[in-house]
Amino acid sequence: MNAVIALCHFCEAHGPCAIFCTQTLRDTKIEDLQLDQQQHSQKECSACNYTTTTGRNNIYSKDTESGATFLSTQTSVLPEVATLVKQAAVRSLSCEINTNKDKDGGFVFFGDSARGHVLSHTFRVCDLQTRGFYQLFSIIVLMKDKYFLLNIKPFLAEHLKKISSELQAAAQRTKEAEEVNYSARQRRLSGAQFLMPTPRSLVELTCEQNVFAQLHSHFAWILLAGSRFLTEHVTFGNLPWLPPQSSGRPPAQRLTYNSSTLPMIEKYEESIDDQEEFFSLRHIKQVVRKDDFANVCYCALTGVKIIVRGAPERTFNFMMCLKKLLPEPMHNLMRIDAQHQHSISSEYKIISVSNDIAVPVASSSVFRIDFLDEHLNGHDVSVKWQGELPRKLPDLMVKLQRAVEEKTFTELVLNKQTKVHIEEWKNKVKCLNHAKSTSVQTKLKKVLGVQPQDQPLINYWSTHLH
Amino acid sequence: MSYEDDDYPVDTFPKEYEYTAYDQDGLDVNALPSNSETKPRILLMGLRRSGKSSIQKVVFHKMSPNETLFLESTSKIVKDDINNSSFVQFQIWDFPGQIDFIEPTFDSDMIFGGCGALVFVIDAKDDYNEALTKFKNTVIKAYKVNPNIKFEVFIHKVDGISDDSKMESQRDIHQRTSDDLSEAGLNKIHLSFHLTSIYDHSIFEAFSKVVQKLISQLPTLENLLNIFIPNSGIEKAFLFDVVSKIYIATDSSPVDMQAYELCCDMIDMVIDLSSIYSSEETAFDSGSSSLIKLNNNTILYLREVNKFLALVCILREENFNRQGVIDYNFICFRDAISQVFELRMKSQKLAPLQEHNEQDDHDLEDNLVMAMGRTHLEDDNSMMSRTQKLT
Ligand SMILES: Nc1nc2c(ncn2[C@@H]2O[C@H](COP(=O)(O)OP(=O)(O)OP(=O)(O)O)[C@@H](O)[C@H]2O)c(=O)[nH]1
Ligand SMILES: [Mg+2]
Repeated sequence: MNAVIALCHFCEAHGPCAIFCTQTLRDTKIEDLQLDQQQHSQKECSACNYTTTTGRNNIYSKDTESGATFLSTQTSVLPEVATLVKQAAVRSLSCEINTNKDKDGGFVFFGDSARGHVLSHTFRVCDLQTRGFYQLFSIIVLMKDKYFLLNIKPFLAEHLKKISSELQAAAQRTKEAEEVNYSARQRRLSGAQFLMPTPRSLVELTCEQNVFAQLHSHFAWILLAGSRFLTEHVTFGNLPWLPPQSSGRPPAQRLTYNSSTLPMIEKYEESIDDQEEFFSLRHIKQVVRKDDFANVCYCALTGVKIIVRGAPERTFNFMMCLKKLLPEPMHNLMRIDAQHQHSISSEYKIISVSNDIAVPVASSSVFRIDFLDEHLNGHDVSVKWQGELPRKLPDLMVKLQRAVEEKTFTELVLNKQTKVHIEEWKNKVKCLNHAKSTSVQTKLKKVLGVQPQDQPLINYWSTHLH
Repeated sequence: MSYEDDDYPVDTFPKEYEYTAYDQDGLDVNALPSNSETKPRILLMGLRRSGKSSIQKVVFHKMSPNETLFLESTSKIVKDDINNSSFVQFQIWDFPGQIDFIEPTFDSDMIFGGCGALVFVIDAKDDYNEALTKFKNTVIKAYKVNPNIKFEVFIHKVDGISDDSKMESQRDIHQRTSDDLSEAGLNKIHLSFHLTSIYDHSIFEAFSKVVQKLISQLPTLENLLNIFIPNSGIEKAFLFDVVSKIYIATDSSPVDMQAYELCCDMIDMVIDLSSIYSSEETAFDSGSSSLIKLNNNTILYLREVNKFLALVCILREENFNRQGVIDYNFICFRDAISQVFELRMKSQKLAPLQEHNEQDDHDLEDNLVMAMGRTHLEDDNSMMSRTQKLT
C-alpha cells in the first residue's frame, strides 16, 4: 500500500497543518535520510508540533518480514510528498468538511491524480481552554491509486474511527478531571482570562505521554495491514465484496500464511512425517461432537463455507486435519489465520480466523466452529450450522466414516486410507470433467459407480479440478 | 498576546483549490441563476479572534453577546444566506482568520468577484499592526479583482475603552491605512470606519450602514421617508428589518445613536411581548403596532410595513394629537414601499438586461407627495432645531 497517513490539526493560532505523518520506506534506507537535519517547524507552538518522550524528531519501526520501514516525522521526508500532505491537510480541515457529520467524525474523499487522492476523517477532541471547547483534528490517508483507496475505504474507516475514538475518550477523561473543581463555562462567563498563550498539544489533551508513539504504531499497522490486503486480492483478481468471478477459480497458488501462524507452519512442515501420524480425521471427531463430525465432513466435501474461529494455536491442528478432506489441488481454497474480515466473504471455503475478527452468523451456507475460552456444557467448542444432511450420503463420505470408526486402524493407517479415498474420487471427478456431452457423462457415471447422492461433491470438486 | 506567523506556509495551492459556487449550494445556483447572482455578498475578514463570527451571530442569529465567548474558531468559510425581506437579501461569508485567502493560490476571482462589501474587523483591544498589514494586502488584492467593492473597517471590541482612546485608535488606523494605500497608489479607494462592539447597538448601526450601501433603492426609500416625515410632524423615522434590527433606511436628518437604540429596544419589546401571547411566527404581523410615551414629551410609534419591515418613528407628544393624519400618511407610505418592492421584483425578472429604473421611482415619489396630508406645518422649524441639538 503506497500511502501516507497523517494527523492534521486546526490550530486556533496558526490555522490548519499536518503535525504527524507516517509513511512506508522500502528502498530508501533510513540511514540515508538526514533526519536530524530536518527542520522542526519554525512555529514555537506546542499544538502544531509533536513531541516524543525521547526527544527525537522521528519514530520508526521495521517489518522484518518484508524489510519495509515505517517512519513517522512531522512532515514527510520526501519534499514532493510533504507538499501534497500540506495541501491535503488544509483541504481536509478547511474545505472538504462533511457538514452533516463533522461533530462525530465524518469521512470525506477528495483529490485528483496530480495532488493525490485523499480519504479524510475529521473529528473533535475536547479542550476546555479553546474557544469552542474542542480542537479540530483530521487523519488523512493520501494515495496515488484512487481505486485502491476507495476499495479499502471500509477497512480504513473502521480503523481510523477506532483511533479517533481512542483520542476522544482520553481527552474526555482529561476534561472531566479538569472540571471536577470548577465549571469552565461559569469561569469563562465570570470574565476570568481563559486562554493560554499557546494552544495545548495532543499530549496535554489526552494526558498520555506516549500518544504519538501510539499513533505511530496504529498508522504503521494500517500501512502494513493495507499492503497485505493488496497482495491478497491482487492474486484473486476480484475484490472480496464483489460477486465472485463466474469461473470461480482461484489461481493456482500455495496457501498464504500469516506471521502469527508462520512458526507453527514451519514446525509442522519440518516434522511433517512424524506429525502425519498423530493428526488424522479422528482429531476432528474428538474436537466436535459425534453427530457434528458427519456435518463437518459433509460441508468440507461439498463446499459449504466453514469458518473456524479461535486462537490460532488452538485452531491450527484442526485446520490441518480438515485439509486432509480435500485433494491437494484444492488446498488453495483454505485460508489459515485470515487477517481480514474481507477474506471471509471471498472465495475461500475453509477459513480460520482469530477471535477479534467478526464473522457472519451460521446459516445453511455458513458452517461455524468456535473454539470457546470457557467450557460450554462440558465442551469447549461450539458448532453451528443451519443446514441438514441428506438422507443418503456421498459414497466418499460413507467410506471415510467407516475408516474412522475402524478400531484396528492406527493413525498412520487411517491417514493413508483417507488419502487413498480422496485420490480415488479426485480421479473420478477429473475423469468426468473430460466428458464432453451429458450422454457420455451419464455412461461414465455408471462405469465409475457414481450415484445421485455424490452429485453435490462432484459439482463442487469439478469446478476446481482441471 | 500575539502570534507571529507571517510565513504561514500555505503557499502552493492551485487555483481550483477553493470553494466553487457549486460546492456551497449547487442546486440553488443552478436553479435560480439570476437571483443568486444579484444577491450581494458581504465578506467578513480579519485576524483570528477579532470577532467576525461573533458579529455575524449577534446581528443575524440573535445570539447573546455572552454566548460568543463559547464560539469555536472558524475553520472554513461559513456562508450564511440572509433572506429576511425583500430588501435585505445577501450572503455573508465568515472567513477563518488564520488562513490567508489572498494568497495567489486561492481563487481570488471567486472570493471577491461577486462581492458587494468587504468588512474588515480589527480587534481594538489587541495590538493591531499585524491586522493593518493584512488589511492593506487584502484591499489591494480585492480592488484589483473587483473595484466596486465597498471597504468597511470595523474597529471592534471598543466596549470598555474610553471615548478618547477610541477616537485616538480610529484616527491612528485611518491615518495608517490611508498612508498604506496611497503608497500602493490606490488613494481613490474610499474606506469607511466604524467603532463597534457586540455589547451595545453600535454593531447593528454599523452593519445597517454596510447593508444600506448594497440596497440600490436606498435613495428612493430615503426620499419617501423625507416626504413622509415633515408631512406627519415626525422628527425621525427608521425603516427596520425586524429580525436583524438593522435599519435599511432613514430620513436624511442625522442619526443619533441614542434614538437608534431606543428604536431597537422598542422592536425587541414588541416582539418579546407579543410572542408571549402568540406563537413565534405570528409575533409580528400586519396588525403589529405599538406606541410608547417617554417622560420627556416624546413618543415612539411603531407600525408594521410588511412581514419583515417595521417603521419606527420618534415624534413629540403634541404632534401626535392628529394621529389620523399620521396613520393616513403611513398607509400612503406603505403602499409606496410595496410599489418599490414590486418594481424591484419586475426589474429582477428583467435583469440583467435592465438596470434599476430610476424614472419609475421618481414618479412614485411625486405621487406620494400629492397623496399625503399635512399636519402642523408651523412645527417644522422647531423640529429641525431639535434634531440639530441632538447631534
Ligand atoms: N469585549 C468584546 N469581545 C468580543 C467582541 N466581539 C467578539 N468578542 C470576543 O472575541 C472572541 C473571538 O470571537 P470570534 O467571533 O470567535 O472571532 P473570529 O474573528 O470569528 O475568529 P476566527 O474564527 O478564529 O477567525 C470571542 O471570545 C468573543 O466573545 C466585542 O465586541 N467585545
Ligand atoms: Mg470565526
